[in-house]
Amino acid sequence: MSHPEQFGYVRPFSLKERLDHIQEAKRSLGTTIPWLCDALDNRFKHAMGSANNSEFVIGPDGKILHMRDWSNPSLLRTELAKLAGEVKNPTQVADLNLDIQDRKPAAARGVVRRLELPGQMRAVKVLPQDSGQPFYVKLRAEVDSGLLSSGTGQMYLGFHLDPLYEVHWNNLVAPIEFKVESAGETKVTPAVGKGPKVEAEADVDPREFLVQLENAHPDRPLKVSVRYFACNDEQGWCKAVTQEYLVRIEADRDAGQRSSRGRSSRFRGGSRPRPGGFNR
Amino acid sequence: MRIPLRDLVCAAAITAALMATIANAQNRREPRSGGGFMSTDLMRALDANRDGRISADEIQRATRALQALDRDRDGALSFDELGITRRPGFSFGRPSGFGRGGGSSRSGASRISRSGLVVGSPLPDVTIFDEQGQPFDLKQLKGGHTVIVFGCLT
Repeated sequence: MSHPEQFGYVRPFSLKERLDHIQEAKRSLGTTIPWLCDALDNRFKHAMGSANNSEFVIGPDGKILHMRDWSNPSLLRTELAKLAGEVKNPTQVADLNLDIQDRKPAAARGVVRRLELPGQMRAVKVLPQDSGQPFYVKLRAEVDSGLLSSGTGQMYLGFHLDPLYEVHWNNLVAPIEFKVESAGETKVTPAVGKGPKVEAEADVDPREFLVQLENAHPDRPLKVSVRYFACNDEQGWCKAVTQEYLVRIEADRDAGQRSSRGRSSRFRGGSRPRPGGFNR
Repeated sequence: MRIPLRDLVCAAAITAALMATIANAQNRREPRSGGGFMSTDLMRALDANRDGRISADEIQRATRALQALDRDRDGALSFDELGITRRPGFSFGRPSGFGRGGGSSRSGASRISRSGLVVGSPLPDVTIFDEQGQPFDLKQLKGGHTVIVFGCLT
């Protein structure tokens, strides 16, 4: 996933979720072409150069005939014409009538203000721990460059509802709570946090926090536990969920980049956030 | 600075012309310098089918595409929401310039080439999955020409 949050989607944690993303892509693109699904460790992507929209033409012997970092349909058509002959009436992109639709959210968006980040941040590795139930809410962790280089700096913890599960926050009960446990000399401030009280009964906005880390090290992963209350109106259930993650302070090259990086100008006139607090 | 959505929609036609210029430059394989005009985020939003140009249909849908970038739903787009980083002294854009086109196997700067892959390299010996989640051995692709495009829904 190159652009988490675009069209509302977030990084899948399981192969099933990744396969669901493929079905979503097929549905929204209206395509019948065969799709292959990389393993969760992205082994195929890495073996093929890790370029996000790269393109390869493979010959009958299984070897690369053409390759480029960024897909170029017109160049590809030329190459295929040389390999397989000209096509009399080639399908044009316009014929496909592509129309990617934003997935309908399970509840209102724009109810809780997004956190104003202190600058450009980089995603770090998040390892979800099996809880026996789906991760209706998924953690995205990012850190500032100082934290990566020195072990001291700010870390963003964003808890995002996964639209695949069509759930929303239940704001009639206690808000989301998180706890960060550190080991050794690593210090986290604050180590616990709670989401805002929201007047609307339900919404799907992320719950975001900033915490300050001191003496963090990739060899000392942080244990992040979270408790939240999610509802699925379609299936008629609401439940409390407790889940855990290990967060390694190490850049995650597969985590993509949110479209609005360093959203410092997101809120006009907004104040800078305090660690652990919402920008309200 | 924030840019009202209606202004951006009106600019879509201009953008299309600009994109045609960029696409031509890429087709000529001219080296690209930094300081491109349009952010990749904005291009991705407008170029729904990822064909490197903004078609008439995509221009018609530009309003919806731009609204999708308005993350804080305030009816306007900031540079951040457009994915544009302003650099002192000149214009704005990613250090690598617009887009990521080109990068053919002839270019030593290609990200793929830097990974060690060259034309003639075999597909890696890895097992991935088909759409149903069943293991898929890449050797199954032998016997015919295959196009593989890496991508994702977002």
